[in-house]
Amino acid sequence: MASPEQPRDHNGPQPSRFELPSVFTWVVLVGFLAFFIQGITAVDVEGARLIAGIGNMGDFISRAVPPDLSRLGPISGYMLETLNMAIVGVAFGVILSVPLALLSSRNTTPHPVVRVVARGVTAVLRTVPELIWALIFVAAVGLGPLAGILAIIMDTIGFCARFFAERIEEIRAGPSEAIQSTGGGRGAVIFGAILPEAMPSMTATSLFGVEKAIRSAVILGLVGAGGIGVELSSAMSLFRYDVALTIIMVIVAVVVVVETVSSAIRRRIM
Amino acid sequence: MTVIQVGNIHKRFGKVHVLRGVEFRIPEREGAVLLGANGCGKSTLMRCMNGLARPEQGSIRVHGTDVATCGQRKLRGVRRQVGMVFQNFNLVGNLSVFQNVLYGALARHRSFFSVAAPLASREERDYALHCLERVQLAHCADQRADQLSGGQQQRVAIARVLMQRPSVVLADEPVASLDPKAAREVMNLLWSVVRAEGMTLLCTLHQLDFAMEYGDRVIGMKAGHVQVDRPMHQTDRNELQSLYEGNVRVDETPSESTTPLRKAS
Repeated sequence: MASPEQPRDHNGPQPSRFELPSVFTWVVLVGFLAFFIQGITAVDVEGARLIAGIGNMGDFISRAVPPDLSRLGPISGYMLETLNMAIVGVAFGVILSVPLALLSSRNTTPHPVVRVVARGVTAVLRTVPELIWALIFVAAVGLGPLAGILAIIMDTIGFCARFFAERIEEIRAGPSEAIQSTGGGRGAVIFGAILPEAMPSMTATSLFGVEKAIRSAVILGLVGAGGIGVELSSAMSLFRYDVALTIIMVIVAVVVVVETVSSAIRRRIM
Repeated sequence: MTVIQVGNIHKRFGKVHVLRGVEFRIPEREGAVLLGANGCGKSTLMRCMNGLARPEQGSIRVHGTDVATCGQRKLRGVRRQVGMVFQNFNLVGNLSVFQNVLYGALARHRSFFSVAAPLASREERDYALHCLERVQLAHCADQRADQLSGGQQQRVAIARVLMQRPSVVLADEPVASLDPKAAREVMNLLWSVVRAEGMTLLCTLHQLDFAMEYGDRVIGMKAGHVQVDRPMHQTDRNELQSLYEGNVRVDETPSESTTPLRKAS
């Protein structure tokens, strides 16, 4: 009785084997192609310039190698300053991100209007690139690492507050409800359940923030906001490519070490 | 004395009319079991009972306070009196077992900081350890809550209720996600704690066997109504089984105007 059912022949319409792209896809595709072609023609990609470029690169390398290690001492000093800027900036940025994230998460905000405002602030901080923050703060507080630190704080808030808020919105409601149901108020729910539940993810995000800030801190020196970037830019403009190579090597070494340590910590906590 | 009095509760989620005039009362120190199939409205009712959800109509009096309509301040007062045990335990996973138990003391302290493990008073810390001893998990006090097995986590949740010292306990399918052995341990523990402390209990369950073995009274829900409400010794398996047959879900209940599309032939 229980023989397996045979597949029947279907005479009706079959599901199509290929899907035609939607109108939306066509619009995006055509728009992208138009910009691409316009871009290629506008920036004037010439074979001759590329070939000359290869020659110049060779010139740069021949002047840079061997790197001039005699200035390693002061260069390390500037690298330390860069590292300090990143760490101090991220620390303050993360501290300020927590309340902003709580205000901009659906489940912790005191009012929907507050949420919209907090989200807006975060979006502005994120949209303005750190180099522009640095230019603004150099104008405000003058040359030096303070401007760099302030720029990194802004950049970190834009990054961390957003991801903290996303994490806070997706944590499970259960533990918060358990605390509410013992009679705990809003503060108890936030400190007792929401922040502890979000902590591993927030730590990982902060470590990404450190990695990002170190790369930013290197660049910020180019506009005079402290750190090793000033050294790099002056070495380049004095054609001291051998010094520049030393600086680049120090930067790469430090960034690699920081990223390795940071990902090791993330593996442990996640 | 009646501790819980539920009167004519209606609750809708969009078009789905989940609770349709639920009524019952539970006297002091009674261990009542709430039965019903998936989707009959049990969990919604439990959430309404401590103000996590609000019904559109009706009253839910706990010690005389109507949690369906009272303000936030009164609601917090009622919640302090009502301990909850959840199906998914709802411990804070990456905090210690000890800290999770201490959270029960929020019922007595205004500030979160008086129940944080590093700052809590000696008395509360001692009492939390005592509660863990009663669920035989004192040796796990320093472990992370999410390192424990399901049965152990539910015992920690019971210790949290003990810490709270409520007069009423609401347990929402406390053993539904546990294996049979752990389920029996948790049922034994929950009922012995409730009886020893003279608490009033309302416990939703899926297992008829557990219901008949532990409950003083059974409240059976079907499609948003109370279908059965009597002392356990006055009911039998057939009556309870009938709660799970026919149209059991609120969203399956046919309205008067529609006829079944197809008769079973």
